[in-house]
Amino acid sequence: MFLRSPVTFLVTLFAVSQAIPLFGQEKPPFKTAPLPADHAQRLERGAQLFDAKVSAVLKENCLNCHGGEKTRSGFDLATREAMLQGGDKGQAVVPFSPPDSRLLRLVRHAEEPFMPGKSKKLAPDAIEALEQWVLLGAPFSKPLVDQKGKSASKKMTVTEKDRDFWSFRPLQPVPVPGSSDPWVRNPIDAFVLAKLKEKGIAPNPPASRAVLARRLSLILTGLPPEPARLKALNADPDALALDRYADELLASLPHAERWARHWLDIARFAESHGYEQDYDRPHAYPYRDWAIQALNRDLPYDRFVQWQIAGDELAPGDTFAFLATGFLGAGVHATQITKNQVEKERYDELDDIIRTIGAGMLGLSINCARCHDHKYDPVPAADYYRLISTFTKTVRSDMELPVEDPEYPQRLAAWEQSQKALAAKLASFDQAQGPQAISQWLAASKKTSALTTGWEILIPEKAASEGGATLTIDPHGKVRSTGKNPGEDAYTVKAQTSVDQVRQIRIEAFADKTLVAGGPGRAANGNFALSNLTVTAFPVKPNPAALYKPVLLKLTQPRATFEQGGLPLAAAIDGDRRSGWAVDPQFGKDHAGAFIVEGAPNYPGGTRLEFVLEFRTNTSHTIGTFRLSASGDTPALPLTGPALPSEAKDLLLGKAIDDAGKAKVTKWLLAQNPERVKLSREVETHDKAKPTPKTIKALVCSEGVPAIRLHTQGGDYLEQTHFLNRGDPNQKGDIAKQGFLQVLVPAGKNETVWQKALPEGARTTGLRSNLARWMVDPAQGGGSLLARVIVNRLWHHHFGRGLVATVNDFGLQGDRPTHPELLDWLAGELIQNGWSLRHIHRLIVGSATWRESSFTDAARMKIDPTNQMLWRFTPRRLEAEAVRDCLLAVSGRLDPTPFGAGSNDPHHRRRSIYFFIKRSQLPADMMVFDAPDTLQIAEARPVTTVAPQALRLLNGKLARDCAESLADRVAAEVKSAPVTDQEPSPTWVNALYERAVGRAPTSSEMELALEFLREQGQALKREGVKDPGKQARTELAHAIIQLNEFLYID
Amino acid sequence: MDLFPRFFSQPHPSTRRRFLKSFGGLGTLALADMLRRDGYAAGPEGSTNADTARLDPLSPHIGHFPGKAKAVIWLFMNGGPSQVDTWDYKPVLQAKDGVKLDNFDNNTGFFTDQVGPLMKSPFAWKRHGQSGTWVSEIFPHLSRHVDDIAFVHSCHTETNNHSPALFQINTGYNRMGYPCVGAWVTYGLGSEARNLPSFVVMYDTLGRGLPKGHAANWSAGFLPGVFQGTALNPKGAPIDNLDPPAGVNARSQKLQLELMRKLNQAHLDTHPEEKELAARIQSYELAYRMQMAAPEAFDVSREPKAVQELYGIDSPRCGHFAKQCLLARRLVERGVRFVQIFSGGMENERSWDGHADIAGNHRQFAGETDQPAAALLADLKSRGMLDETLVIWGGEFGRLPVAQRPQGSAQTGRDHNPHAFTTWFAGGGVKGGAHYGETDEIGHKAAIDKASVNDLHATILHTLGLDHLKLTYRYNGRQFRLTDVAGNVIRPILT
Repeated sequence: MFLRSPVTFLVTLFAVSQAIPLFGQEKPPFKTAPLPADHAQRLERGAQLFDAKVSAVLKENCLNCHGGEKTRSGFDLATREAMLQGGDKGQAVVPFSPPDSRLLRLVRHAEEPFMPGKSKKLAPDAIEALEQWVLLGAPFSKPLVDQKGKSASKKMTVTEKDRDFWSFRPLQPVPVPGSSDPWVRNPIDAFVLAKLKEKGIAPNPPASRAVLARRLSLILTGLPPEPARLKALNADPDALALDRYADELLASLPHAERWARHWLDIARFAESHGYEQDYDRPHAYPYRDWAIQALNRDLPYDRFVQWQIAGDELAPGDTFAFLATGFLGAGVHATQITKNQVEKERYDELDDIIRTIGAGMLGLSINCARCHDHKYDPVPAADYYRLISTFTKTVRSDMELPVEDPEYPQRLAAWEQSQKALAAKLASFDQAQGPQAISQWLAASKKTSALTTGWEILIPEKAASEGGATLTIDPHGKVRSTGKNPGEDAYTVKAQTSVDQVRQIRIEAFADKTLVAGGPGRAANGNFALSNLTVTAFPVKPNPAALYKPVLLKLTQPRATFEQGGLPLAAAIDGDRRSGWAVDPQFGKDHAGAFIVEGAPNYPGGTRLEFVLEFRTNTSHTIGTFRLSASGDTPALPLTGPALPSEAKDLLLGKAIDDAGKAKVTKWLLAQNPERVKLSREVETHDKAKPTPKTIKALVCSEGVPAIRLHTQGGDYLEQTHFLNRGDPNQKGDIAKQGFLQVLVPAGKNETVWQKALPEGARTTGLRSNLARWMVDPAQGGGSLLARVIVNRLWHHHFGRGLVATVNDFGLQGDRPTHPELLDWLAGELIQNGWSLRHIHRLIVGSATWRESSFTDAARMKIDPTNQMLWRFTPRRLEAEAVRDCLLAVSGRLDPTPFGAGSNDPHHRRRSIYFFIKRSQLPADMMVFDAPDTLQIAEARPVTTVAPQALRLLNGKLARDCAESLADRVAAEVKSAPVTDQEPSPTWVNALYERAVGRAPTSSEMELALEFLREQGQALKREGVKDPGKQARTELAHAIIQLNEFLYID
Repeated sequence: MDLFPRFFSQPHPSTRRRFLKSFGGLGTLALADMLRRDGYAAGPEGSTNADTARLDPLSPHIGHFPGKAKAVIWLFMNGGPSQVDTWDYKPVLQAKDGVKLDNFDNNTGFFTDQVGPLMKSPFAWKRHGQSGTWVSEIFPHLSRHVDDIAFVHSCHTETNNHSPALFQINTGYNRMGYPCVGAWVTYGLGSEARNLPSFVVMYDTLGRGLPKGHAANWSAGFLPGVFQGTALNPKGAPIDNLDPPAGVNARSQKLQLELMRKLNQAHLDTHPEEKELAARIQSYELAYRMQMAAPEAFDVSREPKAVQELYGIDSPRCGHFAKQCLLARRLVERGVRFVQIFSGGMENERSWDGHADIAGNHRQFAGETDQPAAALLADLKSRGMLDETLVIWGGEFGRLPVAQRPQGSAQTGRDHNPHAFTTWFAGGGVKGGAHYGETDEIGHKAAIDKASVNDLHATILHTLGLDHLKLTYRYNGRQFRLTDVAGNVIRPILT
C-alpha cells in the first residue's frame, strides 16, 4: 500500500483508530483528547519526528517485546492502529495528550512497570522526543514491522535467543572446579567453595556428629533419631559412620513417607473433590501409597514422571504404573456443573493438569498462556492449547486393579484340589443313581397320575408391546424387549401349557450385561417395576358342548427372590396400576416371583394362557428379558426350581424318546434328588469360594474408562480441545492438535519423534505417553529442565532454599540460580546415574556443605546475610507433619503402620501423611503450621511464626497427650534410678533430654529442670493434685517439646 | 503482665523501619513503599517476599495511601438475595407481572426447565430518607439508614451456581484455590489486634450448614495460611486452644512458660542471628495475651442491656445474627481487621436461596438480619466508628425477575441470576444515599455503569488505602492480584 499524500494516509489511519471498538468491558473507558484544530499540521510534523527519531527509539528499545517477536502485556507497537488499542493494562497512548499517555509515564519511570523492562532508562532526549511525538498525535509514517504475511503478527515466535535462556538450554558436561582444600568432601563442595572464595568468605566446619545425626534423621525421615542409635553412632570410631547412617535412613520407609509428602504438595493431593459438596474420594489413597513406594524403591525419576502422566500406556497391565496416574486427577473437581458452565469447567480441569505438570515438573507457569501468549516466558498460547489437548479425553475413574499377590497360585491350587474331590463325589453318585432314575420316576408318577413335576417353562406363541417395544421370543421361552422403551408399557404374552389345571405361575427376570448395571430392568438405573400382572386362562380343546368363558386367574401368595423396599411383588397384583414390584439395588442378578393360583378351571388337554405385564409405576421401568412358567403342582415350588424338560413330558405321555432325551431327563431327575441337591449345594458353595487374585480399588486417570460422574448437566469431557481466544470457550478457534513446548524443542525438530501411534482399537489415545516421552528427553525435549527442577527441589528440602529459590519457576521471572554450574552438574549426575534420586541425596548429605554448622559471625553475616553462598547451615523449623510426627515419636505414641486408607480422626496416631485429607476440613494440626491448602500446586511452604501455633502446642490435646506419654515413657526407661515423687530425679531429666532433643542437658539446664520439678511439685501438692510428681514431670516434658530446639533443624 | 519484657517493648517510631525489617511483614510492596518513602531501596532486585514477610506477617502495616476505613464488616447474605425484592425497585416489573419474556435464555438460572413468566415483587415498596431510596417492606429497620448507605445496583458475576459464584465474590476467581478478600486485606495491612485473630468469620449457628464450598470461601489460597479467616465455632468455645489443657491451672502454665523462656533464651544466645527463633519466643507472649483477651472480646453479655436490645439479642427471630453483629463490633473495636458474617446456611430454604417461595424465604431471612444489621450501623455511628468501618451487605448473585415455576405448578420462587444484583456499602468513606449503576427496566441485567466483582473488590481495597493494582503476591511465576487483570474503583460512591 502506498498513498500519495502522507497526510491523507495519516488522517485515514487516525480515523480508523477512532473506530476501534473496546475489547473488554473491564477496561477503563477509552480516552480520546479533543482533536486540535491544527491536527493535520501536527500530524505532519509528528510524522517527520517519527522518521527522524521516534522510529529508531521504538525499534531499539521497545519493539522486541511489543510487536516484534513478542507482544508482552498484549501491547503492540508494530502499527499505530495496534498501538492505539493499548494492551492488557489499557490505553498506552492518547494522541495529542501526553498527560493521558501511560507509555510516557512508564518510560519516565513515574509509574511501574518501568520501561523499557530490564534495561536502562531511555536517554532524556529520547523521552523528550516521545513526548513531543505524542503531543503531535503520535503518527506513524509507516508500520515499524513489515506487515507482509504478518496476519499472525500478534502471535509470539519462539526464537533461538529464547532457547538460549539458562534453564532451557540442554545440559552440557560441567567441569568440577579443582580444589585441594581439606574441607571439600565431594564435588558439591568444590563448586560451593569456589563461589565462597570469590566473596572472600570461609565455610563453616562440620557440626558435631550428634547435631548432624539429628539433622540427618529429621531431614531424611522427619523423625528424631532413636537415643540408642545415636549413642552407638557417637561411639563409632569410623569416619564414615554418618554416611552409613544416611544409607540406613535412605533405605527406610520413614524416609519415603517424608519425601512423598513433599511430592504430594506438588501433586495438590487430597481425598475429596472440593467445590459444592466436597464429596470424598475414598479411593484416592493408593496414589499416596504409590508415591511412598516409588520413593522407597528409588524408582528412577524419569519413570516417576512418566508413569504419573501415562503409566497405563507405558507399562500396560502394571497396576503400580497405573496407580501413578492418580497424579493427573488429584486436583479439585466441581461437583455440580450447570449447563452453561460445562465447557468452562472442563477447560479449567485441563488447565489444572497442565499447570501442575508445568510448575511441578518443568518449573514453568505454562498456564499463564491460557488467555494470551505468556507475558514473560517464551510460551505461546498455541503451545498451551496443543499441550492440554493431550488430556482431552482423560477422565478420573475408580478402577478395580489387580495387585501383586504372590500367594495366589498356592491358594488357587488348594482350592482346585478340594474342587476335584467334590466333583468326584458327585460323579460317583450319578453313576450309582443314574441308570434306574427314569424307571423309578415313571413308576412313582403313574401312581399319582399327575404332572407333579415342577415348573413347565412356557414357550410363548406371541408377545406384543403396547408402547412399541420390540419383543422377541427365543426357543427356550425367553422374551427379550429391545428398541423403543416408552415411559409406560404393557406386554401381552400368549402361551400354551400341557397342564390341565394351573396351580402356580412364575415370572423370571434375567440379568443382562447390555443393560445399565446389568439389568434386569431397562430403566436408567437397571431397575424395573412390574405394576400389574394378570393371567387369563382358556382351554386348549374347548368342549363344544359346554359353555366356557375365559377365566381371570386369581393370583395369591406372592413370593419373590428380592423385593425393593416399598415395592413388593404383592403390589403387582393389588390392582393399583401405580404400585409395583421392583428390585433396586439388586442389579445384575436374576430375579423371580411366583404366585399360587386359586380356583383355576380344569381344562383336560391343557390350558391356553394370556399374560398381561404392565409397567406404569415409574418412567420406562420395563423388564429386559423375562420368562413365564406354569405348574399344576401343589404345594409351592421353589422359585428357582429346575424346569420340566419337554422330553419328560413326552415320557409321561407315553411317547418314545431317544437316548439324548433320556440322558437329559436323567440329569433333570438327578438334579432333584435331595441327597444330590445337598451335594451339589456343597459344590456350589465351594465354587463361590474360588480364590481370586487380590485387587485394589483406586482413583486413576485414563481414557475409555468409566468416569467418576457427579452432578453435571453435561458430558464427562469434550470431544475436542480448541484453541480459545482469551481462554473463553465461547470464542473457539481451530481444533488443537498435540504439541510440546517449542522452546524446549530444537528449531525445526519434528515432534513426531515422540509421537507414536497406538495399535488400532486401543482404549487410550497414546497422547499422554507421547508427552511423557518428550518430558524426559534430555537432549531434545524437556529432560534437561526436568532434571534441573528436581535436583533443585531436593536441594530445597535439604537446605531450606533451592539453588533456584523459586522452586516452581525456572522462567524469566524466576530467580536465577545462586550456583548455576553446581545445579547443572547435579542435574547431569542425576541423569547419568539412571535418574536415581537416592544418588543425589547421598551426594548432598555427604557434602561438607550440608554438614556445616549453623554458627554465625557478624563479618560473614554482613557480606551474605541470607546465606546465599552457603557458608553455614541455616536452621529452620520443621514442617507441620514433622512437628506432629516428632511429638508422637518421642512420646512413643506413634503408630508406624504404613499404607492404606487414611484417617480423619484428628487424634489418630499414624504418621501425618496418613491423614485423610478432606479439602473442606483440613486437619487443624497441619494447617496451623503452614501445610498447603491442596487446591493448587503448592509453592515452597512458607514458615510463619504466629500465636495460634503457640496456643496449639501450649493448650492443644496432641502436645499435652504426648507430654504425658513422654514423661511416663522416660520414667519407665530409667529403671536404674527409680523415679519417685519425693525428690526430682536427675536421671529422668537426663533421659528426657536424650529422647526429646538428642543430647544431655547442660548443668544449668539440669538445675533449671530440677528446680522446676520441685517448685511445680510442691505447688501442685498444695493445690491438692492427686499425683503431683507425675504432673510436674508432664509439665516439664510439655515445656521441652515446645522448645525451639525441639522444633528446629539445626 | 509482661512475661518477656526484653522482646516486648514497642518499637519507638524512629526505629519503625528497623522494626519492620526485623519483624516483618507486609507484602514486600507496602514495605518497599515505606522504605522508599524513607529514602531506602527495598533491597536487592529479585529478592522475594519470603525473606521479609515470614516472621510476623500479621504485624500492622500501612497501606499504599491513607484509607478512610480501618476495618471491614461484611454481612454476607448467602444464597443470592433477589435484587428486585430488596433494594432495586422496578415499577415496570410490577406492571408486567405474568408476561412471558421473549428470547429468554433458559440456561440463565439453575433449573433450565422451570422458567415461568415475569413475576412482580410480592412486597410493598416505599421511599425512605433524604435520598428518597426505594426499599421493600422487608427491611423496616435498615430503611431508616438509607442515607448512610451507598448502593451499587449494577453488580454482575460470571456463574449461575452457588459455589463458583461464592468463590468469585469472595476471591475474584470462580475456581477454587485463590485468596479471599479478607486474606488479601490482612496480607496488605496486617492487624491492629495482636491479641485476637486478624480475620474472623462467623457462619450460621442454627445448624443450617456452611456456605457452599465451605472454608474455601475464607481461604488464604496461595497466600501463607496465617491470612486465612478464623471461623468461629458455632457452638462451644469460639476459638480452639484458648484454654489450658484439663488439669492445668494458670499458675502452673505460667511457671511452664517461664521455664520455656529461660531455656529458649539460652538457646537463642547460641544462635544470635536467628530472628525466627526470637519471633517464636515472642509468639508465646502473644499467645498468652490472647488467652486473656479473647474470652473478654467474645463475651457479648458484657454489653449494656440497652445495646443488647438494640441488636435484638433476645429475639427468637434474629437473636443469632444479632449476637454475631454485636460481636463483630466488639472485635473491630479491638482492632480486628476483617469480619465476615454469613446469613443463612447452605442452600434452598436454609439460606436466601428462594427457589420455591420468594416471599416466604426473603421475609424470613430479612427478618433474621434487618434489626441486627441496622443496629450495627447505628451502634458504629454512635461510637464514631462508622467512618472507619466499611460495612458491606450482599450475596453471591441476584435472582431472576421471572418466576421459577415447574410445569403445571403455581410456584412463586426465583432462580439464580448472575447478571444483576445489588451490593451496598456503608461507612468507611462511602457516600451515604448514593446509588450507582442501574439494571434494565425489569431488573434482569445490569445495564448502566455495570460493576463487576473485580470493581467491587477494587473499591473495597481502595477504602482501606490499598491500591488493587499494587497489592500483589508472586506465586508460581506470576504476580497475582485480587482483581486479576481487571477492576476499577467505583469512585462515585466514595466521599
